[in-house]
Amino acid sequence: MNDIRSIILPPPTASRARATLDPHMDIDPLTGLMGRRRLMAHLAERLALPGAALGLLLIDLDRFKALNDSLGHQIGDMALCRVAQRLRSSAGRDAMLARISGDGFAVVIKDGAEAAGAADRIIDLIGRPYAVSGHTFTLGASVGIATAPFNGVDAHQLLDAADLALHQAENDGRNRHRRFEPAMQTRAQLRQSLEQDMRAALLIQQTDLRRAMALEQFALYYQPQVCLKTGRLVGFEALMRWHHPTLGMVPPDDFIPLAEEIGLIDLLGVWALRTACRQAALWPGLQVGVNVSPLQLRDGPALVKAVADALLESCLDPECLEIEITESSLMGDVGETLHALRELGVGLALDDFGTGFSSLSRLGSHPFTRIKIDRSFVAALALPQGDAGPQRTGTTAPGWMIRAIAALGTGLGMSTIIEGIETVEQAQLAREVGCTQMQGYLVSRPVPADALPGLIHRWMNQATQDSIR
Amino acid sequence: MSHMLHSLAYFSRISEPVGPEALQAMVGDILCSARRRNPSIGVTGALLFSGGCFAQVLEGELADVELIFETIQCDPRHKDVIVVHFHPIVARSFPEWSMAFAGIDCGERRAALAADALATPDDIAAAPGGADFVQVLRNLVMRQAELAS
Repeated sequence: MNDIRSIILPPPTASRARATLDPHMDIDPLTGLMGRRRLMAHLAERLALPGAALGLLLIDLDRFKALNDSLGHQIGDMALCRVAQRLRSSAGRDAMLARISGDGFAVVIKDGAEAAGAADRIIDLIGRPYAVSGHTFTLGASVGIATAPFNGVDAHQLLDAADLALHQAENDGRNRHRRFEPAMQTRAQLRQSLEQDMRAALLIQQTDLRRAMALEQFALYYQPQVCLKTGRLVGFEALMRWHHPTLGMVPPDDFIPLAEEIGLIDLLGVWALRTACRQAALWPGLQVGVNVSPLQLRDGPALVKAVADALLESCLDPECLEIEITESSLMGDVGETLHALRELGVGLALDDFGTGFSSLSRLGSHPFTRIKIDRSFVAALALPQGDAGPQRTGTTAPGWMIRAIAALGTGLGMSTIIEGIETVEQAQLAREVGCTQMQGYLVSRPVPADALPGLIHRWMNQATQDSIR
Repeated sequence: MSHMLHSLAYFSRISEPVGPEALQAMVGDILCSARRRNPSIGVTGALLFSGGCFAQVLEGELADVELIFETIQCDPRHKDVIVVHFHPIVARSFPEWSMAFAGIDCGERRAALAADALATPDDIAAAPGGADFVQVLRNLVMRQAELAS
């Protein structure tokens, strides 16, 4: 399942800026280069010859849109003409050149073995300064390479392969060339199908059609949170799961970035809020924590409305809902949104504390009610002696860092919950250093909603809570 | 606008290190082609080579300067081009030269001159409008003329 992460790349051609250019044009009137249609015909003609071999380079300009925006289209057009000239002088005499999109070009060369050298010359030359109409500026170029017959035997195959390579070049930081590799295609196909599946599952969800099937795919799992002092169950964190029909369980770290990228995170986030609130309304007195993406946080009013709606619809006591926000999403201007959420009466947890830019001033200035100490700190609790902490003070107890964070929480009037607790010993030590709550496999793995009544019942009567008390 | 006099100055680095003789030949060739091409389009300027770097000033009508600059850009013999200045001017600094030669660091005496000029390219670039840069090049051109006579 680790492979899934590697396919979460920005989508290829679709999102690339395409200025107006008629794809059916034979000749681009601006640069005098071949248009896309002529390029395809030219490729088809050459590939039809017996033993045909050639190299196709796709070139996308970097920063061209910014140039157009800042200096205007007239200068942008003149820049494109200069780029076309530079392509001509760097691609070699036999090369065929085409302009196939607003800021996209193609070069066909005879010998695929020379493609990388040609690409580097092109990148070098296009990257040199321009002087146009009294302005100087620079552009960059990313190049994708595909060769026939190795990467494709017809024009479309070859163009697709070069496009995937170009996409990889842009993804690897632009201003470079990449050759097509079959793995790029596999990744793109997998990603494409995941994207489709996600859209299908979520859109079905949205329209309430075949809802049961959609619910089978996306589900919230709940991981219990327990008070370290009393051993009592205090609530659950809701965690999204995607049970893909063929891939099986896709962890959130893999599909959430995809949802963010394809613009479905709001849909997914609203669904999670509604589902969690409906579920939590069935457990009197227990809290539910729902994670919120940085992208949701960016559209503050929409998030506040979604939370208010979910509360209203489920009749859940606002105090029983906690919104979890990661440190890294606090980078922007989110103060107003956080205060608006607090005014609804919901709790605010600062998630993954200690892993990002743990800014004390931010912690103090935002209305958080709980700090969630990242699981990476639990390792310190396993050490028999202080983890190279402040030994001189005589505090040889493990986890001095956790102690400091817990003290910080107490000072700011926030509770502290530590994640990733797996053993009774860790739980006892966490309590000793001042944490107020815990979450982890010691209590339970995240469980599906239908396992909750049993879990709640067992926990209320079980000896586990005595052992840590 | 396109008929206004403009001045453009740039630094660049030689693409690959070459021996003194090849260097002389290369710079000679660059000067020759500039002197052949520039008079017909009314572009003047100066060229300096020092420490593996070219420094050049081009002056003339806007479109002509841009045309010559673009041609020079595509020359594979240099790389890492940085534009020092590009702005309108009232009068040319090198009116008598289609391409004046401000030095090459092959001869010892000339090396010292050129090294002074390019010791701190950043300082020159930072000077208002690159005026100092043009002045330095102009002084070097004068010294070259004296040495030659």
